[in-house]
This record gives sequence, structure tokens and C-alpha cells, in this order.
Amino acid sequence: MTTTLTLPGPSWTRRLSHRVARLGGSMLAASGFLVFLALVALFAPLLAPHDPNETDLSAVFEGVSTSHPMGTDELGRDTASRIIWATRVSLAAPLLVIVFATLIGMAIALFTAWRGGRFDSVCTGALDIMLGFPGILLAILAVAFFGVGLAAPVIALTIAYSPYYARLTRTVAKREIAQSYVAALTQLGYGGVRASLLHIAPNILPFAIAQSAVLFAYATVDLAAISFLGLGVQPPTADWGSMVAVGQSGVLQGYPLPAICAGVMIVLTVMALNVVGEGIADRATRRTR
Amino acid sequence: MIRYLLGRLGRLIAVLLFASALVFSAVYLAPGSPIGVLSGGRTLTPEQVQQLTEQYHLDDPLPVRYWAWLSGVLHGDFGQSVISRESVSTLIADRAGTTFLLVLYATVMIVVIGLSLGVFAALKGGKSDTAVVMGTGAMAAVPSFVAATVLVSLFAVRLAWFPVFGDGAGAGIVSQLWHLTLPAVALALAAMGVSARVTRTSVQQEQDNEFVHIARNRGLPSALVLRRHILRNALIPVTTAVGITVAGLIAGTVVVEQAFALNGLGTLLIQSVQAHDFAAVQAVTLILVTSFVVVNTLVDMTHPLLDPRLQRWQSA
Repeated sequence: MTTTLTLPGPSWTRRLSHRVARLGGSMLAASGFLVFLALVALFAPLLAPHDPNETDLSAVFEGVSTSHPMGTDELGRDTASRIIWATRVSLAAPLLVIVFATLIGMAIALFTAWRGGRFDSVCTGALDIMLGFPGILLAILAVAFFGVGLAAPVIALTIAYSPYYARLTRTVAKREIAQSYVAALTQLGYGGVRASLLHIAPNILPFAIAQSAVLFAYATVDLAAISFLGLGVQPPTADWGSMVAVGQSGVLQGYPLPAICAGVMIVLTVMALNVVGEGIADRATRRTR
Repeated sequence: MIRYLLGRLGRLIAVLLFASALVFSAVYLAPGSPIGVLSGGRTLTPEQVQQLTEQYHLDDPLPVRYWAWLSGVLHGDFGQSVISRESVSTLIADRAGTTFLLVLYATVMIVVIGLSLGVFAALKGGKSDTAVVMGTGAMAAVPSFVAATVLVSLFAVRLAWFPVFGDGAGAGIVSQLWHLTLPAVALALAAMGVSARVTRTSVQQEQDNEFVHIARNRGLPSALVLRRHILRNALIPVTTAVGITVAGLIAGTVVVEQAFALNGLGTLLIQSVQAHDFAAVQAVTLILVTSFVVVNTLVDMTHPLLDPRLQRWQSA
């Protein structure tokens, strides 16, 4: 006994393939790479050919081989496996920063733009003052006083990025609120929260996501730098930033492969995020025109 | 115009007060007693406890402490390092030169190479333009410590054109610049990419202006049109963008100095963080933030000077 279930309209696979087909080449490559990274992070235990922390002092600084597709490091650990495992922390930490910075920044932006007037200008002034503190210095300060590890830098960067995000989003929110449909909503008795959540936020979402993608790239670099400085992830756990740092001894001995592989991962991730961010922003601008 | 400048100055002071309050209060936000934090968990003799209590006015209420600390800072007194027992200002004075030279060197690279690339791409168009756009896009995505790794591996270890580490201080300016070349490239690379892109867009926009077409059609030499009609206008937004980028380099020195083991402020900061030497951490953070904010303000202030049209609008 079989029951067939037909969905109304084009199937979701067809809709998805339509969407994918409309993406440009670089956009397609970039988002494809990001999906690939997410899968690598998710399935790291299945994909890694070796235990990332298994040392083998008889196989130190080996070149590329079938057993070690990216060679081995100064302790004979398999670089590919370490890169695969490091994908988890390298993506999860900046993702946390971006999720919270986006939520906080959006809330501030919508609230100040909706209230307007003196409140808005005072808040904007306060945000400008907070922007005077570079994120990476705030993160280093946080590590100095709360101890090494990624927790303090993640919180510090969230605090540093939120005003930046709010500042960028406020301009877009302001423009959206000036539109006549928002005036109509207030006539219908919509409060600020309801109008913002149901109508304004969804409408400015493409801009917001574009900004989140670009800030994701910044957060990736900043957190990798913190780990590179030895203030973030602590051994034996590794992220790409700490792998570049640990790889320095190899660089000096003429075996730069582990450090460069980790560095290339950071660069590719940042490039992909930038391309996706710019792509979404372009699309959003074209649609509003 | 005066109102604009005063406004910027007011904002500068507000930012510095906020930053100093944040740096100051970190001691009290941190878990543990202030003495425990300031000593970095070391056991201290009663005299040392006494000295720290006096130095940080720990017996006084918080606003008094902040004021005492701030007035000390304004007089160049950042307290004493718990590690080296030297005054923090001496530690900083010994290292600030290296950091300053590094930022300056990187700035020159950004202006010379970044801007030329941008102008070249905009004027040339076609395939060269595409190549520059793609190249600068890739450059902008390279973090300084990754650039440092590649540069050291290629130019210092493999080819041995440049020294691996050290700042060459005390061996004359030429040796110092030679030592700082790779660090400056690493620091400048991403900013070069960004500056080139900003310049390209700006020149492209100016190029399409009617007065440029008219000047060209009147038969003016293209070098003159470029210099007098295109660049003078195009460089206004570029100056702002490059200025802000250069301000960003100041925090970036921390990572680059660590990557090349340069004895500058950034290395001092990281050493102090690792050694729990909080007087030094506070001082270096505050100096770096102050430089960042001051450069940003200067950039803001030069904007109306470069663009006389802004002055007219603001006074009208």
C-alpha cells in the first residue's frame, strides 16, 4: 500500500535550484564553500583521517602523502585532521559573536530609529563614543583581566561589534520607518515593538544579513588573531589562528606547510564571507531601486 | 567651521574619558580583590601591599581613585610594573619608537602602492581593472599574521633577503627600516587592498563627470586632467578612508609585532597580559586607544580643509 503525496506548486528542490541558478559565479562558489565548511565542522569526527592530537615523533614535518594529505606538524600530528577539527572552534566562536551582536545591534537600531528625536541623537552619540575602542584591544584587555580562553574575547567582541552593527543598521531602519506604510501601521494602532518585529525588521533583513556576513569575516580574523597571540584557544585544542602560531617553529625550520594550510583556511573563509556579504547587499540595493 | 572642529574635539574628549574609565575599571570588574588582580596572584610582602594600595588609592572611594589615576596618567605616570619594578612610562618610552616607525612605514606603503593600484585600475579599465579588483579583494582578506607567516617563510627563510626577527634598533635607521620591511608589508597588506578599492571607485566616479569630458575634449594633456580635475576631487573621500584605515593599523601592530618578535608596544602588551602585569596592560591599552582616537579625529578635522565646499555649506 503506497500513498503518494503531491505538494502544491513547484517542489522545494526545484525552487532551490532556481535560486541557485540565479546566483552569480563568485556568489555560488563562496556560499558553496561556506556550506562545505559548515559540513566539515559538523562531521569532523567522520572526516578526519587521524586523531588530531595523536603525536608521532617518528613522522615529524612530513610532506604531502596519501596518509597525510596536508603533511604533519612538529609533533607528527596530521595537519589535515587538525584543520578539520579546528573548523569547529574557528567558526563557532565568531558565529556566537555575530549572532549576539546582530540581535543586540538590531534591537538598539530599531529602538532608537523608532523613538527618534533627542533620544536617538543621544544614543547615536553614545554609540560613537563606544566605537572609539578597537575590538581587538577590548578583547586583549578582557583576556588580561578574566583569563585566557575564548570566552572573554567572544564577550568582548560582542560588546565591541554591537554598537557598530547598530550604527550601520540604524541608517537603514530610519529610511524604512520614513516610508508611508509605517505611518499607516501607526494609524492602525501598531506599537513600536509590533511594527518593528512584524514589518520593519523583515524588510531590512537583507541589509542586516549582509552586514552580519561582513562582520562575521571581521570576527573570524579578530578571534584567530587572539588565538595566534596565545590568548585564545589553549592546547591541545586548536583553531586556525593557534595553528598558525604553533606552526611558526616549522616556518623557521623550512616546513611552513601546517601554518600555511591553517592561514589559507582563514583567508578563504574571510573571502567567502565578504563575497556573500557584498552579494546580498547588492541584491538588496537592486531590489529597493 | 569652528563649531565643527569644536564638536569633533568634544567627541574626542568624551571618547578618551570613556576609554580611560573602561581601562581603569577593568581592575575592579575582574574576579578577585583589586590587590589580588594587581599583583597577578603573587604573594606580596606587606610593604608591597602598602605600596600598591597607595599607588592605586585603594582606600579611597572609586571616583577619587579614578581621578587620582587619571591625573597621574595625564602627567605621564602610569605606575610601576609589578614584574620589572621599572616605571611603566620608561618601559613604554623604550618601545614606542618601534611601533610608531612600523605604523609610519606601513602608512607610506598604503599611500604609495594602494593608491597607485587604485588609480591604475580605474584609468586602465578592462582586464587590468578586473585583475586589480580580484587581487585587492584577496589582499583585503589576508590577516596580518597569515601574511607574516608567508613573508617570513618565503623572503626570510627561503630566500634570506630579509632578517627573520628583531627590529634592528640601535643599528641606524637603514638597518631598522630593513628589519621593519616585512612587518610593515604584513601590517599594510589588507589595508592596501581596501585603499586601492576605495581609490578605484572614487576615480571611476570622478572620471565620468562632465567637466572631465570637457577638459579632455578641449585637448588638455591627460596627465593634467588626471592631476587637476580627477585626482583633486577623487582624493577627498580617499583621504578619509585611508586615514581611518591607518588608525586601524595601530591596534594591528599588536599582532604583527608578536609575529615578528619586534620589541614594540604590542609585544609589551602581550608580555604584560601573560605575566599579569596590569599597570603595563592598562597603560599600553590606553596609549593605543588614544592614538587610534586621535588619528580618527585628525582625519575628521582635515575633511573640511580638503573640501572647501563643505565649509561653505556649513557656514551657510
